Amino acid sequence: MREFELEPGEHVVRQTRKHWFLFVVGLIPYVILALLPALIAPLMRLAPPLAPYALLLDFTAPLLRATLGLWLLLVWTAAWGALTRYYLNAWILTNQRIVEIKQRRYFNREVSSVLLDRVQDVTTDVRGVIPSLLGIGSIKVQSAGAMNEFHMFGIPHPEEMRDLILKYVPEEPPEAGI
Amino acid sequence: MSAQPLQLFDFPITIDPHTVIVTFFLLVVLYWVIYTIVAIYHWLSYSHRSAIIFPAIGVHLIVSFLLVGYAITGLL
Repeated sequence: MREFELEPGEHVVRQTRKHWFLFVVGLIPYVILALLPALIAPLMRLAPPLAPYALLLDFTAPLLRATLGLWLLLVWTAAWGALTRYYLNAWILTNQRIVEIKQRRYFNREVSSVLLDRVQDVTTDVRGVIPSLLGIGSIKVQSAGAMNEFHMFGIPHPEEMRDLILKYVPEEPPEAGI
Repeated sequence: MSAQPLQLFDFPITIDPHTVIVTFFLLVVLYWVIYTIVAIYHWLSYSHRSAIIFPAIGVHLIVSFLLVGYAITGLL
């Protein structure tokens, strides 16, 4: 792994990403853009001043076919870029820490981690009908230290993740008594 | 009102639509090549040897080549 190296004795417990449903919802604008050429002519026919121009949008004509192909190539490339960014954003739980990898844009990558022995509280939050049905939620990890809050948004089955985190949080050593 | 042929706009200069589309085609393909190289670099560098790297890249290339081929049929 290039972003972070596992320490001796450290192993990956779980790697997770945003729920697939959120990725699919994020694809809706690309679907609309892909369908736009097919929708323009019927929409123009609805507006009488523009109706004659709808006849010009004949996608069997060679140049319009070329334009349509290029338009779909642009939309497809952008949608594939969305898949790339979706896949490269991840949270990794090891037996020693939680690592968050944020791929904001290409060549803009942020990797941060919080040690499990600094974790003080783990809170899950599932709100809404669809998130409840699909098990989509967020986790807030509070820790002692400079970065005292760590958020995971839109992850699948946050309760499972919370239980896993708490399982690997080391118990506090018993206070030394006299 | 007499029927007249439809005229969109009266441009002062003549632009060859074929030249415009060919230029657009070259620009889009150049953009696609750069974008694809950058994205593949990120997949190979940061996806942690995931099993879906090569299927994802393969599907992108196949769909893109089909769309480029479709666009070329309109330029020939």
